[in-house]
Amino acid sequence: MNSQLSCNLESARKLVDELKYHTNISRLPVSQAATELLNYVLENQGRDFLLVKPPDNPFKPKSSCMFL
Amino acid sequence: MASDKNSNRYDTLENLRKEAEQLRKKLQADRKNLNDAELFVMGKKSEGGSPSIQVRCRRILKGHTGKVLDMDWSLDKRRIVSSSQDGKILVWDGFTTNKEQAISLPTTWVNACAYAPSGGSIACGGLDNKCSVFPLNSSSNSSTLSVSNKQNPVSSGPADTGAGTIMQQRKVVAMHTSYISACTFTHSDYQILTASGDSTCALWDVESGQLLQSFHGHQSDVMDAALSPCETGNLFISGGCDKNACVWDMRTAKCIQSFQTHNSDINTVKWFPTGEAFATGSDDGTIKMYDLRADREIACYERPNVLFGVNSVDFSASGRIVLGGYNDYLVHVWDTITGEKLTALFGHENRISCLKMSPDGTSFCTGSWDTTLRIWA
Repeated sequence: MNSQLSCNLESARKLVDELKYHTNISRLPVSQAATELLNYVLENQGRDFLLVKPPDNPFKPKSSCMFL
Repeated sequence: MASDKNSNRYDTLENLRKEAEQLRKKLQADRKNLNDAELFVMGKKSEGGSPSIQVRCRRILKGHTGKVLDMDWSLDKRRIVSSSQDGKILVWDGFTTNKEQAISLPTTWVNACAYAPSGGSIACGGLDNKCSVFPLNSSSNSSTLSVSNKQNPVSSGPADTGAGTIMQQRKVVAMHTSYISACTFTHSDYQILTASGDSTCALWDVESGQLLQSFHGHQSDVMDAALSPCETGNLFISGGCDKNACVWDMRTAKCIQSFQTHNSDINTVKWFPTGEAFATGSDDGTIKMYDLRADREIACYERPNVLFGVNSVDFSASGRIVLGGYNDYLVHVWDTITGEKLTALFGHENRISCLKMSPDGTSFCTGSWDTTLRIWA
């Protein structure tokens, strides 16, 4: 009985510690975080080969040319 | 006397529970306070038009006789390793669709497989509760791992060529108390991160098989884990059946951030390219994106007619596109910044279990319960 209570106590303390940690972290407003995310995307999408044609893509069958 | 002690302890337990509840409420309120903008609104204002995405299925890899459960790309951008319900692991040349190597594990449901950064070995695990590393026999790859027989590599698979030899070269690295759901090498060949049905994640030294760090916190099976893409990153994310997505510090083994906004099991977690955000896919049919610095969910990719669970997600190289492999056999393609669904890709004849972008971002591969893998570009 005592040891089970100690176990529960121990995990309850850990949980409170963890929640304290989570609550105390410094946060950015969403507007700022989203702006930086957007900037990254817009700066890099010109080189994103799902969006633009890559210079060469061995998966695209142009001919029987294989890159070995 | 003893009962006084017990009642004191009970009080403390009750106080701790109350404190935990208060902290949870504060966390929720603090996160809400900084929710001053919406990504999709900002995204629609900023972008010039819908991105055009024209991908088609370019290769079909046939060879597995059971459901494909996981796959991984080699850093050489052409080789792929895949694992299956029937216990087989296959190494493919994606360009030619040739099978380069086959390994038969003495277990079914190999849920996880991973390519080592050097390309010289692969890791895999599943219902056997273990993660094993096998060297690959390719002359162009030199592995500096020293392989020893100290772990028990007894059984050899059925009639594969050299099956006896490959099982002797097997190195059992990780041992959990339930199935392995995910495994990945860290930034080198020498450490492996595993996620397990035993609700923990763990970091292992490949050479010695030693447990380096154990990560406790999930209340149920962990379904996926992913290492930060940052070169100096010490973080990884995990998602599980407790609907929680957690951010972990590998050095301290602490869960430093935790999010619970999904309505069902999280099956997959993947980092956004910057390492400042990540996406999750869930049985609730949605993909969500969480931002680490805003410390909250900032996007949800969903449609009323997209009802089936998501098993795997990945971002395109710039992060503009997020791809999901679903239980409705389709890859649904979303515009990350506007939330718009761009298209759905048909091809597989059963649920998609895994999806991954190639290392150079030119293509992605999907694996399915229909026993095939497909490469799209």
